[in-house]
Amino acid sequence: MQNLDARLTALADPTRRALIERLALGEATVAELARPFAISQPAISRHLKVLEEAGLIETRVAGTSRPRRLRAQAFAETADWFGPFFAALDARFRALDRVLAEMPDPSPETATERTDP
Amino acid sequence: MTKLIARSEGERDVIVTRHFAAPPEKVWHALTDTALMRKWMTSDFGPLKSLTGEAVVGGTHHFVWDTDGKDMNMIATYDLLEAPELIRHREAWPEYGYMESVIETRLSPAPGGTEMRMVITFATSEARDQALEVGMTEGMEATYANMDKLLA
Repeated sequence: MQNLDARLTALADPTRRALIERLALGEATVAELARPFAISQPAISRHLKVLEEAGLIETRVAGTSRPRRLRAQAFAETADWFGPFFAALDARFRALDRVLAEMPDPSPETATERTDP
Repeated sequence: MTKLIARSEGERDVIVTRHFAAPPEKVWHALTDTALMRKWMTSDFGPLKSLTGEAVVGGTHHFVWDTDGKDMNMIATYDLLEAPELIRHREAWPEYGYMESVIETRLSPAPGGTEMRMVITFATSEARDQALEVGMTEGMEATYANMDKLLA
């Protein structure tokens, strides 16, 4: 509960939400995270610190590299935050995950489609 | 990490980002093939009763969900289909006075699969806020309540 204000404040900033969006695709280093932004790496580091202190992301130690990643636990119920609309979308996309897992690899026809301009 | 990330933007938009563990071509097929769509177009109001039509430019898909014996309809009209990258379609809801939202879906290759980014533009900001239930009063309350649950 003491983290609540920190989390809401952390998510109230568009740059930090963009960082979260990026991290949703997988872990990334500060340099990788800073690349799409027109702000300095130290500024990105400060945003990451806010997110980390709020418990939304964590730092992994991988040799000399320190990639950041989302704390899965903190986002496990993301859909719930937004009510039934996102819960429904979330359920739909989970079903889509299963459909994708069952689908055979692209047929030659699909491969032809892929090369279409 | 395949969790859904969503946020509202401006007055009427919602942006949804989701990762899928399959290449864009495969995701595209699952998003546009009627038989495959029947397997995943679930809803929060009931099971999918029927799905007819075809995803072609100018074409439509007609969804019917069963809500406790009553039908809930949705007509999707396709305005743009650029395989395997971009779909622009409109969703009209007859039970809600044919209220219409515009959805742009972009697929791009990402490590381990595909990143899908959907921009949903609701008919009005009220419709958006109602759908999201993030009004400043009960919406924030619900957000806080869920946060509590999350942190418990």
